[in-house]
Amino acid sequence: MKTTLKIAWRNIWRNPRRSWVLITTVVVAVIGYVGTTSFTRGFMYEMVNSAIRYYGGHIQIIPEGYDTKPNIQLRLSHPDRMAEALARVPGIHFAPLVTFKGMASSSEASGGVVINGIDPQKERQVTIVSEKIIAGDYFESETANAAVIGEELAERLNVRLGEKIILMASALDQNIASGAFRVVGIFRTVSTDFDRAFVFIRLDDAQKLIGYQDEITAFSIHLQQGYDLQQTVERLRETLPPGDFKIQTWRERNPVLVLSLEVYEYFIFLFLLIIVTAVAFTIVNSFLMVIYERIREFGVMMAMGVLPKRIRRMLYWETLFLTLIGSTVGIVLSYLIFGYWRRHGLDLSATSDALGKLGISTVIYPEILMSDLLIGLGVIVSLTWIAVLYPAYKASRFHVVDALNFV
Amino acid sequence: MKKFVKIAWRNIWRNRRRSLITMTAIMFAILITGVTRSLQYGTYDTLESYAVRLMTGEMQLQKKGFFEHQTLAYSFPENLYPWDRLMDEYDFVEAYARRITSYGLVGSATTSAGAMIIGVEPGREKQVTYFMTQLAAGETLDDGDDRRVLLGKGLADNLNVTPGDTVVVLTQGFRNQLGADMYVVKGLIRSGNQELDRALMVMPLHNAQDLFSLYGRITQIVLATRDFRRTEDYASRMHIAMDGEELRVLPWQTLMPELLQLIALDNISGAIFLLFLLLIVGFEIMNTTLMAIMERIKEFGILQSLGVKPRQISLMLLLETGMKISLAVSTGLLLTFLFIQLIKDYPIPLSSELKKAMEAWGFYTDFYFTDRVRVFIEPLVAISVIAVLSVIYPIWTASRLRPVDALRKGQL
Repeated sequence: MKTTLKIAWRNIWRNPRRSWVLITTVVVAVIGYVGTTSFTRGFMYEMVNSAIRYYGGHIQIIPEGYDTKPNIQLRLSHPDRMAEALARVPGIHFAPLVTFKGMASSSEASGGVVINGIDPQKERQVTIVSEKIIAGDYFESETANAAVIGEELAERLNVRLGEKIILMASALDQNIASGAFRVVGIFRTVSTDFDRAFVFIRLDDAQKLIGYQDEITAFSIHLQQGYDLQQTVERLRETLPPGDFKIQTWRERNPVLVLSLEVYEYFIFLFLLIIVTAVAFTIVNSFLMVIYERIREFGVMMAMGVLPKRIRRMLYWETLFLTLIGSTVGIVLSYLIFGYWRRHGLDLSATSDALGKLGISTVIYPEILMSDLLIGLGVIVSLTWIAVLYPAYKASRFHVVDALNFV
Repeated sequence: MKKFVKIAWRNIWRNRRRSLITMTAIMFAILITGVTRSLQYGTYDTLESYAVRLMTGEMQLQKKGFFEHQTLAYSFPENLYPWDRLMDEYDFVEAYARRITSYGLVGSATTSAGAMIIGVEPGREKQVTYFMTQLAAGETLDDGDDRRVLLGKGLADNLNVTPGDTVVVLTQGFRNQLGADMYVVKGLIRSGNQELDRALMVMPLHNAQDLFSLYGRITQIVLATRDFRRTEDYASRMHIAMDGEELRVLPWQTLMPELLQLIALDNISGAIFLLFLLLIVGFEIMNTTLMAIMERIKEFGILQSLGVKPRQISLMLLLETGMKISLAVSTGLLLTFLFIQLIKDYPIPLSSELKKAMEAWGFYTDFYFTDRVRVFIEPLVAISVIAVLSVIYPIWTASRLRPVDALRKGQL
C-alpha cells in the first residue's frame, strides 16, 4: 500500500510535462466551472438587485390589505413607534415611504406617475436611486418643494433642471390636490419604465400634498449582507408592536420575478449539465491518451512480477493526486481571477454594442458560492475517478508481451 | 508533394487510437458548442417572439405622431389602403389586423378605474398577436360579437366583475366628443404581464369606433411577418402612402425598446457561458494535439537522420493535422446537424412544478432547440480557429529539433 502510494507520487514527477498537461486539464475544468457558476449567480443577483435596490428594499412593512388593493386610505398610523422598534433589529436599514399614483405635468405635456415621498438620508441606505443621478443632486440643496425625476420623464415633459412641474393626486379627502415642485435632480437607471414613472419628493411634502399627518404608506427595509431574509422577517414580527400591518418580502412583492428566476435557474441547470459533460469528456479523453502512452511501461512492470491489481491501484492513486493538485490550483486561480471581478465588478457594456447604444452600464459581480464549489469539486473528482477506471482496467489486462510491444 | 499527402494520410491511420482521440476532442467540441448555441438561440427565439407577438405585434403601421402622443388625433381612415394587397406586394407580410388603441374610464356597479381600450377585429387579431387567447375565465371575442368585451384579470378584480357582468365605459372621442356605452364582459385575460392585465380592455373594432366617434378610422395596422428578427429590414423596404397621407412603418424594435435591452443582456450572459465552454473544450483540443505530436518526437528524430528536411517534416505534419482537423470538423458538424434534427421537434422538458407555476401566470410556453444556420456556423469557426492555433506551436517545435536530442530523449 505504502509502496504503491510512493510509486504513484514519483510517477507523477517522473514525467512532469505529461503530468502538467493533465493537471492543467483539471485546472481549466475547475476554472470553467467556477466561472460559469459564479457569473450566473452574479447575473441572478443583478436581476434581483435591480428589482429591490431601486425601489422598496428586501422587505416592506405595508398596511394590511395594501398588497391586494393599494390605495391611500390604507396607511401605517404610528410610524415613530414602529421606527423605534425597527431600530432595535440588527442588520437592517430602513426608510419611511409615502407612495401614491398621480399625474406630473409641465406647460407642454403630462403623464401618469408614481409619486414617492422619501426621507433622503434614510432612503440612501435602502435604495440606490441616489447613486444614479446624472444631473443635479439628490435633495442635497435646501430647495423647498424639490423633486427628483427620471431622465425619460424629463424628456417627455420637456423640463430641465431647475424648472417647475406640477404634481397632482387625489388626496385623503377625495379632492384633487396639486402642488408645484422644482426639479433638483434627474436620474437614469437601467429601466426606462422606471425612469418614466417614478417621481421622488421629500416625505413631508408628500404627506402635506395628500393630507396625511405623520402617517406613511410603508417602511422599506434593506438587509445587510450576511443576514437571512426569513430570520429577519421572524425577528421583525417579534419586535414590532401589534397593529394592522403586513411584512412583505421582495419575493412576495415580485411573484413574476421569482418565477422568472426559477425558469432562469432551470436553464442554468441545463447549461451546467453541458459544462459538466464537457469537463467529463475532456478529462476522460486526456487520461485515456496518457495511459495508452504508458502501456509499455506497465508491460515492463508486469514482466517484473507486479500484479495487475497493483498497477490499477497505482493508477488510481496517481489520478487522485493529479486531480487534487489540479483542483487546488484551479480553486486558487479561480479565487484570484473571479475574486478580483467580485470586488471590482466586470463591466460588460464595453463588450456589447447593443448595451452601449442603449446606454446601459451592466456591471456584474460574480459570486462564488461554497455550495457550488463543493458540488463542482465532487463532480470533477468523481468523474476523473470514473474516467480512469476503464483505461486502468484495460492497461492491467494487457498480456505482458503485447504490452511490451505496444506502440 | 503527392508523396507527403500519402504519408500524412497513412500517418493518421497508422496510430488509429491516437488520431481518434484528437479527432473526437474536436468533434465533441463542435457538437457541444453547437447544441449549446441551439439551446440558447432556441430559448431566446421563443421568449422574444412570445413577447413581441403577445400584444405589440411584429410591425405596426401608424400615422406619424401616434407613437409619441398616443392620441386619436393621429388616427387614419381604415380603408386608406387596400390592405389585402400588402400580402401580395410584400412577400414578408403574412397577416394584418386593424386596431384602435385609446384610453378611458371603466366603471362597474361599485367602482371605476382607468383602462387602455383596444378595438380589434377578433379573427384577424388572432393571426397577428395572441393576448386574446390567454384567458383566465370566460370566452374570447369572436368576429360576430357586438358590445362584448374582454377585461384584464387585474382590472376585473379591481372592478369586482366576472364574465356576464356589465361595465360602463366613459371616454373622450376623436374630436373631443364624450363617448359612453355599456358592454357585457365576455372573458378575462391573463397575459402574464401584470401591468397590462391591470389596465386592459378589449372590444370589437366597430364598437370602439362608435365609442370614440372614430367612424371609419383606426389608429394602427398590426402586421405579422415571416421572420420577426428581420423586421427592421422589412420596415425600411415598406412604404405606404395614399391620398396625401403617409403611414410610418414601425418594427417592434422601435415599439418595445425595453425588450431590446433584455435581449442584449441575454446575449451577453449567453456569450459568457459560451466563452467558458470554449475555454474547456478548446483547451482539450490543444492538449490532445500537443500530446499527439510530442509523443512522436523520436519518430521525427529518425526521419531527420534519414535525411528528411525539417521543412518537409513540418509540411507532413501540416498536411496531417489539416486533414485530421477537416475530417473531425465535418464529422462534428454532421453529428450536430443530425442530433439537432432529432431533438428540435421535442420541447425542452420543464419540471411539472415550473410548468404549473408558469401556467398560473398565463405565460406558459414550450421551448425548442433551433436549427438556425448560426448554430452551425459559430462552432465551425470558433473550433476550427482553436484547432489550427493549437497545432502551430507543436509543429514549429517539431521542425526545430536536433536529431540527436530527439533520438536520445524521445521527448522535449
